[in-house]
Amino acid sequence: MQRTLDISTSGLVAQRHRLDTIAGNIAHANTTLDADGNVAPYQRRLITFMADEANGKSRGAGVKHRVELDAETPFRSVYDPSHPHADKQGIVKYPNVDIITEFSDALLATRAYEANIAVIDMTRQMAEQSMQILV
Amino acid sequence: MQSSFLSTPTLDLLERAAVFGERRHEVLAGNIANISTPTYRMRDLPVREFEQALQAAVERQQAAPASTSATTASEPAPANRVDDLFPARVFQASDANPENLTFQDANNRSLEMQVMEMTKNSMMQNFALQLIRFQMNSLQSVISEQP
Repeated sequence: MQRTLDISTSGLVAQRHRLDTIAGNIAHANTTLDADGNVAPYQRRLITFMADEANGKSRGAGVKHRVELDAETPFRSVYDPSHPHADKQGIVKYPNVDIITEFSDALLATRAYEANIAVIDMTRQMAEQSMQILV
Repeated sequence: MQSSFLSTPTLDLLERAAVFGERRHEVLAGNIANISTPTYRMRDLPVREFEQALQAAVERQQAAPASTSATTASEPAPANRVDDLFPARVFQASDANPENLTFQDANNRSLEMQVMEMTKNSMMQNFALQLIRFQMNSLQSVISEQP
Protein backbone atom coordinates (compact mmCIF):
# COMPACT_ATOMS: atom_id res chain seq x y z
CA MET A 1 0.00 0.00 0.00
CA GLN A 2 2.79 2.40 0.89
CA ARG A 3 4.53 1.65 -2.36
CA THR A 4 1.33 2.20 -4.31
CA LEU A 5 0.94 5.60 -2.69
CA ASP A 6 4.54 6.47 -3.58
CA ILE A 7 3.90 5.52 -7.20
CA SER A 8 0.76 7.64 -7.42
CA THR A 9 2.56 10.53 -5.71
CA SER A 10 5.36 10.36 -8.28
CA GLY A 11 2.66 10.65 -10.96
CA LEU A 12 1.13 13.65 -9.22
CA VAL A 13 4.48 15.41 -8.85
CA ALA A 14 5.37 14.76 -12.49
CA GLN A 15 2.07 16.12 -13.78
CA ARG A 16 2.27 19.20 -11.56
CA HIS A 17 5.78 19.93 -12.83
CA ARG A 18 4.42 19.52 -16.34
CA LEU A 19 1.79 22.15 -15.57
CA ASP A 20 4.46 24.41 -14.03
CA THR A 21 6.53 24.13 -17.19
CA ILE A 22 3.52 24.96 -19.35
CA ALA A 23 2.68 27.97 -17.17
CA GLY A 24 6.26 29.21 -17.60
CA ASN A 25 6.10 28.75 -21.37
CA ILE A 26 2.85 30.68 -21.64
CA ALA A 27 4.11 33.45 -19.37
CA HIS A 28 7.15 33.78 -21.64
CA ALA A 29 5.29 33.52 -24.94
CA ASN A 30 6.58 36.95 -26.01
CA THR A 31 9.86 37.27 -24.09
CA THR A 32 12.67 38.49 -26.33
CA LEU A 33 15.38 39.14 -23.73
CA ASP A 34 17.25 36.64 -21.57
CA ALA A 35 17.89 37.03 -17.84
CA ASP A 36 21.04 39.15 -18.46
CA GLY A 37 19.24 41.61 -20.72
CA ASN A 38 20.72 40.31 -23.99
CA VAL A 39 18.50 39.98 -27.05
CA ALA A 40 17.75 36.26 -27.06
CA PRO A 41 14.25 34.85 -27.27
CA TYR A 42 13.05 32.57 -24.48
CA GLN A 43 13.52 28.91 -25.32
CA ARG A 44 10.51 26.72 -24.73
CA ARG A 45 10.87 24.22 -21.85
CA LEU A 46 9.82 20.64 -22.36
CA ILE A 47 9.13 18.05 -19.71
CA THR A 48 10.15 14.47 -20.42
CA PHE A 49 8.92 11.44 -18.53
CA MET A 50 10.52 8.06 -17.98
CA ALA A 51 9.45 5.02 -15.98
CA ASP A 52 11.23 4.60 -12.64
CA GLU A 53 12.42 0.98 -12.68
CA ALA A 54 13.97 1.06 -9.21
CA ASN A 55 11.66 -1.76 -8.11
CA GLY A 56 12.26 -3.87 -11.18
CA LYS A 57 10.00 -4.62 -14.10
CA SER A 58 7.89 -7.11 -12.19
CA ARG A 59 6.50 -4.48 -9.83
CA GLY A 60 4.59 -1.28 -10.37
CA ALA A 61 6.72 1.57 -11.70
CA GLY A 62 6.69 5.20 -10.62
CA VAL A 63 7.50 8.01 -13.00
CA LYS A 64 10.57 10.26 -13.21
CA HIS A 65 10.66 13.56 -15.02
CA ARG A 66 13.21 16.01 -16.37
CA VAL A 67 12.86 19.50 -17.79
CA GLU A 68 14.73 20.13 -21.03
CA LEU A 69 15.07 22.96 -23.54
CA ASP A 70 13.28 22.68 -26.84
CA ALA A 71 16.07 23.28 -29.36
CA GLU A 72 14.20 21.69 -32.27
CA THR A 73 11.29 24.03 -32.88
CA PRO A 74 12.42 27.22 -34.68
CA PHE A 75 11.74 30.64 -33.20
CA ARG A 76 8.80 32.66 -34.47
CA SER A 77 10.09 35.37 -36.82
CA VAL A 78 8.01 38.54 -37.12
CA TYR A 79 8.85 41.49 -39.36
CA ASP A 80 8.68 44.57 -37.13
CA PRO A 81 11.49 47.09 -37.77
CA SER A 82 10.19 49.44 -35.07
CA HIS A 83 10.76 46.82 -32.35
CA PRO A 84 13.84 47.60 -30.24
CA HIS A 85 14.96 43.96 -30.44
CA ALA A 86 14.67 43.65 -34.22
CA ASP A 87 17.78 42.59 -36.14
CA LYS A 88 19.27 44.48 -39.12
CA GLN A 89 16.64 43.08 -41.49
CA GLY A 90 13.86 44.23 -39.16
CA ILE A 91 13.03 40.69 -38.01
CA VAL A 92 12.13 40.08 -34.36
CA LYS A 93 12.65 36.55 -33.08
CA TYR A 94 9.94 35.47 -30.66
CA PRO A 95 10.02 32.34 -28.47
CA ASN A 96 9.16 28.96 -30.02
CA VAL A 97 6.06 28.71 -27.83
CA ASP A 98 2.80 27.69 -29.47
CA ILE A 99 -0.11 28.63 -27.21
CA ILE A 100 -2.47 25.99 -28.64
CA THR A 101 0.05 23.20 -28.06
CA GLU A 102 0.64 24.42 -24.53
CA PHE A 103 -3.06 24.57 -23.71
CA SER A 104 -3.85 21.11 -25.02
CA ASP A 105 -0.85 19.80 -23.09
CA ALA A 106 -2.13 21.55 -19.96
CA LEU A 107 -5.47 19.82 -20.40
CA LEU A 108 -3.74 16.43 -20.63
CA ALA A 109 -1.68 17.19 -17.54
CA THR A 110 -4.80 18.12 -15.56
CA ARG A 111 -6.61 14.94 -16.55
CA ALA A 112 -3.59 12.76 -15.75
CA TYR A 113 -3.34 14.48 -12.37
CA GLU A 114 -6.99 13.71 -11.67
CA ALA A 115 -6.47 10.07 -12.66
CA ASN A 116 -3.67 9.75 -10.10
CA ILE A 117 -5.88 11.36 -7.44
CA ALA A 118 -8.57 8.78 -8.21
CA VAL A 119 -6.04 5.98 -7.77
CA ILE A 120 -4.92 7.37 -4.42
CA ASP A 121 -8.55 7.49 -3.31
CA MET A 122 -8.98 3.85 -4.28
CA THR A 123 -5.78 2.86 -2.49
CA ARG A 124 -7.01 4.60 0.62
CA GLN A 125 -10.29 2.71 0.52
CA MET A 126 -8.46 -0.60 0.11
CA ALA A 127 -6.19 0.19 3.04
CA GLU A 128 -9.20 1.07 5.17
CA GLN A 129 -10.81 -2.25 4.31
CA SER A 130 -7.65 -4.08 5.33
CA MET A 131 -7.57 -2.24 8.64
CA GLN A 132 -11.07 -3.40 9.43
CA ILE A 133 -9.88 -6.99 9.74
CA LEU A 134 -8.32 -5.94 13.04
CA VAL A 135 -11.57 -4.63 14.48
CA MET B 1 0.45 -18.35 10.57
CA GLN B 2 1.64 -20.93 13.04
CA SER B 3 -1.13 -21.90 15.42
CA SER B 4 -3.23 -24.66 13.94
CA PHE B 5 -6.63 -23.27 14.79
CA LEU B 6 -5.92 -20.12 12.78
CA SER B 7 -4.54 -21.85 9.74
CA THR B 8 -7.79 -22.98 8.26
CA PRO B 9 -7.23 -23.68 4.57
CA THR B 10 -9.75 -21.11 3.38
CA LEU B 11 -8.14 -18.35 5.41
CA ASP B 12 -4.82 -19.01 3.70
CA LEU B 13 -6.40 -18.89 0.27
CA LEU B 14 -8.27 -15.70 1.09
CA GLU B 15 -5.04 -14.18 2.33
CA ARG B 16 -3.39 -15.01 -0.98
CA ALA B 17 -6.29 -13.46 -2.86
CA ALA B 18 -6.01 -10.26 -0.80
CA VAL B 19 -2.24 -10.10 -1.32
CA PHE B 20 -2.71 -10.63 -5.03
CA GLY B 21 -5.26 -7.82 -5.13
CA GLU B 22 -2.93 -5.45 -3.37
CA ARG B 23 0.00 -6.33 -5.60
CA ARG B 24 -2.06 -5.93 -8.75
CA HIS B 25 -3.36 -2.59 -7.53
CA GLU B 26 0.24 -1.41 -7.22
CA VAL B 27 1.04 -2.44 -10.80
CA LEU B 28 -2.10 -0.75 -12.15
CA ALA B 29 -1.28 2.40 -10.18
CA GLY B 30 2.12 2.38 -11.89
CA ASN B 31 0.36 2.22 -15.25
CA ILE B 32 -1.67 5.30 -14.44
CA ALA B 33 1.36 7.17 -13.09
CA ASN B 34 3.11 6.45 -16.40
CA ILE B 35 0.13 7.44 -18.52
CA SER B 36 2.22 10.03 -20.39
CA THR B 37 5.60 8.29 -20.37
CA PRO B 38 6.88 7.60 -23.88
CA THR B 39 7.67 3.94 -24.72
CA TYR B 40 6.05 2.72 -21.48
CA ARG B 41 3.98 -0.44 -22.00
CA MET B 42 1.06 -1.23 -19.74
CA ARG B 43 1.75 -4.01 -17.24
CA ASP B 44 -0.40 -6.48 -15.43
CA LEU B 45 -0.19 -9.55 -13.22
CA PRO B 46 -1.17 -12.92 -14.71
CA VAL B 47 -4.76 -12.88 -13.45
CA ARG B 48 -5.78 -16.00 -15.32
CA GLU B 49 -2.86 -17.93 -13.94
CA PHE B 50 -3.68 -16.81 -10.42
CA GLU B 51 -7.30 -17.83 -10.79
CA GLN B 52 -6.23 -21.24 -12.04
CA ALA B 53 -3.88 -21.65 -9.09
CA LEU B 54 -6.69 -20.64 -6.74
CA GLN B 55 -9.06 -23.10 -8.32
CA ALA B 56 -6.47 -25.88 -8.16
CA ALA B 57 -5.94 -25.09 -4.48
CA VAL B 58 -9.66 -25.28 -3.76
CA GLU B 59 -9.99 -28.53 -5.68
CA ARG B 60 -7.06 -30.08 -3.86
CA GLN B 61 -8.62 -29.06 -0.59
CA GLN B 62 -11.92 -30.67 -1.45
CA ALA B 63 -10.18 -33.85 -2.58
CA ALA B 64 -8.14 -34.14 0.60
CA PRO B 65 -9.92 -35.45 3.69
CA ALA B 66 -10.77 -32.89 6.31
CA SER B 67 -7.51 -33.12 8.19
CA THR B 68 -7.63 -29.73 9.87
CA SER B 69 -9.25 -31.01 13.03
CA ALA B 70 -6.82 -33.92 13.31
CA THR B 71 -3.64 -32.11 12.35
CA THR B 72 -0.69 -33.84 13.92
CA ALA B 73 2.86 -32.64 14.22
CA SER B 74 4.08 -35.03 11.53
CA GLU B 75 1.86 -33.52 8.84
CA PRO B 76 3.12 -30.49 6.99
CA ALA B 77 1.32 -27.28 7.93
CA PRO B 78 -1.31 -26.30 5.35
CA ALA B 79 0.35 -22.89 4.95
CA ASN B 80 3.42 -24.47 3.39
CA ARG B 81 1.35 -26.28 0.84
CA VAL B 82 -0.46 -23.07 -0.05
CA ASP B 83 2.88 -21.46 -0.84
CA ASP B 84 3.66 -24.31 -3.23
CA LEU B 85 0.37 -23.80 -5.00
CA PHE B 86 1.06 -20.18 -5.83
CA PRO B 87 4.38 -19.87 -7.63
CA ALA B 88 6.23 -16.56 -7.35
CA ARG B 89 5.63 -15.73 -11.01
CA VAL B 90 1.92 -15.30 -10.26
CA PHE B 91 2.87 -12.18 -8.32
CA GLN B 92 5.20 -10.78 -10.96
CA ALA B 93 4.06 -8.23 -13.48
CA SER B 94 4.88 -8.42 -17.15
CA ASP B 95 3.89 -6.42 -20.20
CA ALA B 96 0.20 -6.79 -20.78
CA ASN B 97 -0.70 -6.69 -24.42
CA PRO B 98 -4.16 -5.19 -24.46
CA GLU B 99 -5.71 -4.91 -27.88
CA ASN B 100 -5.68 -1.18 -28.08
CA LEU B 101 -3.84 1.51 -29.94
CA THR B 102 -0.15 2.10 -29.61
CA PHE B 103 0.31 5.83 -29.73
CA GLN B 104 3.03 7.70 -31.57
CA ASP B 105 5.17 7.78 -28.45
CA ALA B 106 5.02 3.94 -28.32
CA ASN B 107 2.83 3.97 -25.23
CA ASN B 108 -0.27 1.78 -25.36
CA ARG B 109 -2.25 3.72 -22.79
CA SER B 110 -5.92 3.15 -22.21
CA LEU B 111 -7.16 4.99 -19.16
CA GLU B 112 -10.68 3.56 -19.31
CA MET B 113 -9.45 -0.01 -19.35
CA GLN B 114 -6.99 0.58 -16.55
CA VAL B 115 -9.62 2.19 -14.35
CA MET B 116 -12.07 -0.61 -15.07
CA GLU B 117 -9.48 -3.27 -14.22
CA MET B 118 -8.62 -1.36 -11.09
CA THR B 119 -12.24 -1.20 -9.96
CA LYS B 120 -12.75 -4.90 -10.61
CA ASN B 121 -9.55 -5.70 -8.78
CA SER B 122 -10.42 -3.61 -5.74
CA MET B 123 -13.85 -5.24 -5.58
CA MET B 124 -12.27 -8.70 -5.62
CA GLN B 125 -9.80 -7.68 -2.93
CA ASN B 126 -12.60 -6.20 -0.88
CA PHE B 127 -14.51 -9.44 -1.23
CA ALA B 128 -11.55 -11.46 0.04
CA LEU B 129 -11.04 -9.09 2.95
CA GLN B 130 -14.72 -9.26 3.92
CA LEU B 131 -14.58 -13.05 3.99
CA ILE B 132 -11.45 -12.94 6.15
CA ARG B 133 -13.32 -10.64 8.48
CA PHE B 134 -16.27 -13.00 8.72
CA GLN B 135 -13.95 -15.85 9.60
CA MET B 136 -12.17 -13.77 12.18
CA ASN B 137 -15.46 -12.65 13.66
CA SER B 138 -16.70 -16.20 14.00
CA LEU B 139 -13.45 -17.18 15.69
CA GLN B 140 -13.84 -14.23 17.99
CA SER B 141 -17.36 -15.23 18.95
CA VAL B 142 -16.16 -18.75 19.69
CA ILE B 143 -13.37 -17.42 21.89
CA SER B 144 -15.57 -14.98 23.76
CA GLU B 145 -18.46 -17.47 23.87
CA GLN B 146 -20.78 -14.72 22.69
CA PRO B 147 -22.67 -14.79 19.39
